[in-house]
Amino acid sequence: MTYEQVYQNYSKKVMSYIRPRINNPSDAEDLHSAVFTKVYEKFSSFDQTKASVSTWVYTIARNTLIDFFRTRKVMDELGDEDIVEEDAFQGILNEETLNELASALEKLPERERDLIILHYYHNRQLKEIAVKMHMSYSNCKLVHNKALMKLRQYLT
Amino acid sequence: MTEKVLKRLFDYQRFARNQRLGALIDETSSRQVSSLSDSELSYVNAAGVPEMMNLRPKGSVDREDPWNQT
Repeated sequence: MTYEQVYQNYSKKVMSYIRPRINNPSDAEDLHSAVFTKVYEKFSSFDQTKASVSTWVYTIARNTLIDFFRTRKVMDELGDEDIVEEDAFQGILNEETLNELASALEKLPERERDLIILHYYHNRQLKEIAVKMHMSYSNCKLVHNKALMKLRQYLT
Repeated sequence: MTEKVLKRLFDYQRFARNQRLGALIDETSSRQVSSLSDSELSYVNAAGVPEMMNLRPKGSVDREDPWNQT
């Protein structure tokens, strides 16, 4: 894949990833440019046979976003994360794993699935989920732990 | 499958927009939106369509969240 192809294939995905977190459209554009500047600079040293282009671009986008939040001293759920050059999660960040996660989630009862998605995708706190889903906080924690245990089983 | 791994997978989903997983996220959004009052109901943001969110303090409003559509 050439740099141009990478840009064509991932430009929208990068913006889709960045845009919801950034209030100022101009900042989002700047970040988008920063991501692809880094992609361009590192492209010659990136070994496409050893790692997924998707994961590589995602990692650059994520780290760029973390750096942006730190520079602006704005807290975000990413703000506390460490920037890593070699992403420790690279081996699992792919379509196959996402499909496996979807398959595992499909096996969960609706209530557990909603709780997992609300907590891990929408970053809602369990206390808030408990209120919205009309359960006690202690019960919500139980349901959460139960759902996690099942996901661990389904995904091993 | 640790919580950290799960969180990272869902974060990657925000980038990769896997259709199957996105459909489940949309279903959850629809279910949760239906539990809101008429005044709180707005559009549901389907997975794959980015919407503007404010720069926000940790734990505050997430515009992609179905409970915070205004």
